[in-house]
Amino acid sequence: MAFKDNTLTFSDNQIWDPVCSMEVMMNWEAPIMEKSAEFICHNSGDILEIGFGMGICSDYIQAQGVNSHTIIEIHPQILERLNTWAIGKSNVTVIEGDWNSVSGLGTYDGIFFDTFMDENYDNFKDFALARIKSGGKITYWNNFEKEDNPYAFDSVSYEQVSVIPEDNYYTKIQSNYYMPKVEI
Amino acid sequence: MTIYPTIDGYVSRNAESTWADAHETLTGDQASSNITFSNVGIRASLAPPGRGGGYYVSRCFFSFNTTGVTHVPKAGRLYIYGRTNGNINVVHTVKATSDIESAITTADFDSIQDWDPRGDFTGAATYYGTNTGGWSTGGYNTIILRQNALLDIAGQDRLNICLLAQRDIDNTGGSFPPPGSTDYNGLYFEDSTGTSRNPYLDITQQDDAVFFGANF
Repeated sequence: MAFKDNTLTFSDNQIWDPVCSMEVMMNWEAPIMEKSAEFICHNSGDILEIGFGMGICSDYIQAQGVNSHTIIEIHPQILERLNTWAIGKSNVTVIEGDWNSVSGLGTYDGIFFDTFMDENYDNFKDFALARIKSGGKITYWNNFEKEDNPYAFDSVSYEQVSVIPEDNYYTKIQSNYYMPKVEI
Repeated sequence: MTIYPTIDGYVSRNAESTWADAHETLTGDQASSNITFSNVGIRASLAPPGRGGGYYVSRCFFSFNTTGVTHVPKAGRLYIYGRTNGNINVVHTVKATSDIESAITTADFDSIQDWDPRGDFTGAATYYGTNTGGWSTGGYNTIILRQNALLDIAGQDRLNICLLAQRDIDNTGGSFPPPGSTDYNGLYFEDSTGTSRNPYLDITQQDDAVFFGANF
């Protein structure tokens, strides 16, 4: 069963996927989301965010005062929350569907890739390189407490972000997040 | 004779960056013996990179009180009520150690008799039996117990069982990491409401001995 078909439960501090028996996102990630937003919003330009989740990163991106903020979301329950969140935000464009097949995308100064149980991951590198502007910056969720380049970008550097994770089942991050930084 | 477990539950290791870290480790990340069901109780999978990504292993444990069985039974079957079927059609039962009899904790991840995480199918543990016909959901899965399990039923006070995925037990030299993210099965435990979905052991005892005697 695909993630988009799973019925999620939402609470103040997390999204839970009962089919996968694990959290989708938790609010202890806020420092990671803040740093990721700062990185991709380097010139306050056009930003593509893939995966809305709890909207933590989206808030930080908005706080950067970017020119445009495009968000792709596939899960219907999260999409409903995203649409509510987007009300009144004139620089936000919501695109429903799978990032791997949606239309209507442009080119961007920053891209944040943060999906859950995503089987199309092999396509992300080509997808991102086709849509990032010269001088643009890309980051992605790194589930391990170490340097990890699963999408095979030619060059990735890492910045450590201190975190205090709550108990969870979806990541082995203990105290340091290795934020991947792809700079075009 | 029907015997329900005195304790059952699962132990899992989650989101590891290598198969060895998930499969060959001694302890789990989560465990519970007070749970009604698990959607991913039997698991050996590789989730794609990103959020929730990595290698996962989950094993289920059951302890049955078999003190009432004093002779080697004619047959024994383990019945497990399925809940989900990701992509594991073959589930194995192996002998668990007595460590699980009082509680099932993260320390029981490797509470498997003669466990060799880098062994092959026949050499990794004490093999009790395998389900046949795939893993059904919404009904019972039947695992016919082998003779060594029947001997343990008669010879020991408890029958301790671990259920694990094919990929978890057939891993010669650690060289067979799971390829897919949906390699898991779900099942119900003893704590589920009523008994209609509880795991149980069905023992067929030997016919009573008949002495055809004569007056001498």
